[in-house]
Amino acid sequence: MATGSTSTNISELKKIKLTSSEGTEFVVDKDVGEKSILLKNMLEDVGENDMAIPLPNVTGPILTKVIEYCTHHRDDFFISQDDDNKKTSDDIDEWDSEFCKVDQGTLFELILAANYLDIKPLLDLTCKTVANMIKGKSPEEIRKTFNIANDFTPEEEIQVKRENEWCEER
Amino acid sequence: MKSPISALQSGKLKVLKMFKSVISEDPRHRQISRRQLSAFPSPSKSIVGCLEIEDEGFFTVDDCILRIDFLCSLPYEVATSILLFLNFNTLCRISRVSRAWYCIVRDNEIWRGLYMESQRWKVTIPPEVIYGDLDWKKMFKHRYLLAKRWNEGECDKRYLRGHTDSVYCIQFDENKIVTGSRDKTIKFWNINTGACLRTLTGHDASVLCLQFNESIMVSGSSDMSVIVWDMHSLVPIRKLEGHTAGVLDICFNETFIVSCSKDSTIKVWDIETGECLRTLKGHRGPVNAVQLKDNKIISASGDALIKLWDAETGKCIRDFIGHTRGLACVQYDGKLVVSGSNDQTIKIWDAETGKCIRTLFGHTELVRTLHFDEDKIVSGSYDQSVKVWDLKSGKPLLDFKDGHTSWVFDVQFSTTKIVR
Repeated sequence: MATGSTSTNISELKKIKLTSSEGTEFVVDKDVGEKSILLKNMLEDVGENDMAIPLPNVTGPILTKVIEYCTHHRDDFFISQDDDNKKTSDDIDEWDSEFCKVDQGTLFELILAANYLDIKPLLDLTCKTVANMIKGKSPEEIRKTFNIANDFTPEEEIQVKRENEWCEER
Repeated sequence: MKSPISALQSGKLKVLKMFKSVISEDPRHRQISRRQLSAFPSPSKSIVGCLEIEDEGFFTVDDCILRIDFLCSLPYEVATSILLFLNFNTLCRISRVSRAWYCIVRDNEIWRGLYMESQRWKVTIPPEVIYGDLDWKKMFKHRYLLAKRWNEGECDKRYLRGHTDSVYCIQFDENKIVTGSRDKTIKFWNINTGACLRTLTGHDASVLCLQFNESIMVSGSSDMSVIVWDMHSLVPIRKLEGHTAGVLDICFNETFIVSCSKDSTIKVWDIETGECLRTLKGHRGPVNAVQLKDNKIISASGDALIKLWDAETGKCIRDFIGHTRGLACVQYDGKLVVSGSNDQTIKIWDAETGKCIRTLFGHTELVRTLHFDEDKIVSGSYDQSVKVWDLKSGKPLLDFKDGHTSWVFDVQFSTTKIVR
């Protein structure tokens, strides 16, 4: 009995080590790390091991954010969204929305990291955040928001406008 | 090694090349498949500083804040997962941002997803069509516009307000819609403007059925009578009395007027004199629908039977047995009989053999009314939907679920219009 409870404790406290692109080592609880499907699969493949997992695609500041996210959501049961229903970006909770109040560069890297580490809820959250930056804006406002040059020729601009006016809200 | 920014720009160049081919006029070459674009170089970590823009004559303080063209800079499949959170209006709007955005927003998978989400737009794709060859944005657009047109038809219907109670029956031609109502009146409407042209009174109870041609109109009512109207003066010519319950349906040709009633009988009247020539007995329930074709009468009754009669002799030629509940509507074109029933199905019958050719499932309540031509069946149901079916295959073509907020009583269509 005593042995059983000890082993439970050990697995609860189990830590994993990650190395960011700069070589900084991060120690996180195993259950937090396993929010990343990439890490979960890796850990399954390598088995019990003390070696730090190198994440050459993720910088320290971004890895810190990712760990913050996974720690906050460590007890969440991630349900994958039903693909039959229209996905909406209107369902972001307060903590998540605060979490995403970052500059575009950080948001961009968070998306890449979530994609690379295979953390679907974080990828969804960050994509929704970008979707919300797009929503309700005119093409010109979008260009300003994301610093995009209008590279259409005047003729193309007319054509593309005409092509898409069937669904213009009135 | 490429710097992140130059990697980005080569990505951009690639999209621009694609744009040239995409915007070219041949619609067959317009879709972009995921495979084509997924080869985008994904920029590696840490992009620092502003991305270069082409407008060198335009700078603001904002330019010093890092701004990223997310759709172009992210790997293609990640960019499209951002688009999944946008609705079609937004997608159309943002395709006007830049050439690259235009290309990405055309992603066929996204439009297929949007199309498939619209439950009532279910499509049957013929097996000979290669799935990936479909232009889903175009399909979405067509379906959307069709649905929108239908909604606008709904707005027209709002113009037809004037009856003070339920409308039981309608018929239209190029110029007008004629409706009969529970408010005991018949109204004539301008089909284009929706303006009420005339209101006819004469029945003492609900007007349940009517039919008109250029010279006369015949209407039947809960008051147990049939009124024959002059179509020019719109005054009653005569009143046909004899049924002992409400007249549920009527029809006429050059010789006869046929009426059917809740009293379980069908009466055949002389169209010239108004004399009741014969009474057809045989149904064991109210006769809800009747139709005349080549001096043959088809009738549908609450007793779940369809009967084919000879109008000249009054003999019952054939029974059509198969529906499990009472019938509400029937139509006969000389070859085929199509019926709608309280068993929620529509059946197509061979008039010659009396055999059921096909049963159409889909309505979830009584099928109250139907109309068919050589291609299509349009049916209206108590489930508040109007459905369009392919007559030959029996496949459902269209389904208008959200047009009505109550029972659909009557429906009629032509190539361009469905009026209900």
